[in-house]
Amino acid sequence: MSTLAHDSKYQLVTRRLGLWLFILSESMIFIALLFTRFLMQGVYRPEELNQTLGLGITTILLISSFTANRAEVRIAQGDRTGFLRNLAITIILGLVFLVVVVAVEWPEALHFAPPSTGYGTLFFAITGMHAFHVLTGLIILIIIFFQGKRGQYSPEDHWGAESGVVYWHFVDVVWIFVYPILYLFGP
Amino acid sequence: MTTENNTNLLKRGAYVFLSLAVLTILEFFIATGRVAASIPLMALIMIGKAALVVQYYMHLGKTLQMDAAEAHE
Repeated sequence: MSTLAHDSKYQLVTRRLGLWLFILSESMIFIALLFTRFLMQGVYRPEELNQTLGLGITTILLISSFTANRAEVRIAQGDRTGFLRNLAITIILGLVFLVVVVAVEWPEALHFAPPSTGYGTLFFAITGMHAFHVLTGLIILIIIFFQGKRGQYSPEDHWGAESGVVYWHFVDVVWIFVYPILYLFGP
Repeated sequence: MTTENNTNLLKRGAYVFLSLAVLTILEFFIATGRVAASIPLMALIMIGKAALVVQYYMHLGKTLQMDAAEAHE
């Protein structure tokens, strides 16, 4: 292997490892929050929780992970149009998720689980921290979208797009844990 | 990465999504009492879903393999 190719591969390996270390450190915040849920409230779950809404927003986030994966594969294939189209769908789905959580879910939860109650504190802390990560993920994806539109990223070098997509999947993985722990676990 | 590989990756992405969808619906039915309720079962499904995303969408396996290959060079 030539020195240049070796350096480039080494750079990619270290970048990927760096991203995983970052994701691991971010996970610690959510692990602590989710354990607090069991320490403070056990498996108590308010009856008023809107299960349909919970399932709906979970579905939106899962579909967004699917389109994000397609975007990544498309740019690796050199299909810029497919990459931009799938990334745009991911961004729209992410925005819908965020708007539904903030504008529908939270006002509803305020009635039966205000932040002054144990469950309310946990509910708003966990969903709030997750929503903040969705927001940062969206900002990253929007930047990647415009960079892609300007011709950045190629099948040989698309680390920027790959890292943004991996971060978006991380946001999805967090919700995979948040959804059952907050909405489904209960007597 | 060849076009054939990418087609396989797209197919795999779709299968992973379908698995996630089925597991999520199962989780929902367990929680809403339409299937015998069990927190350990839901926990198992939750971990399985996360593992699917981490392995096939976030490419953790590929990252670790690349790192190991690099160490041998």
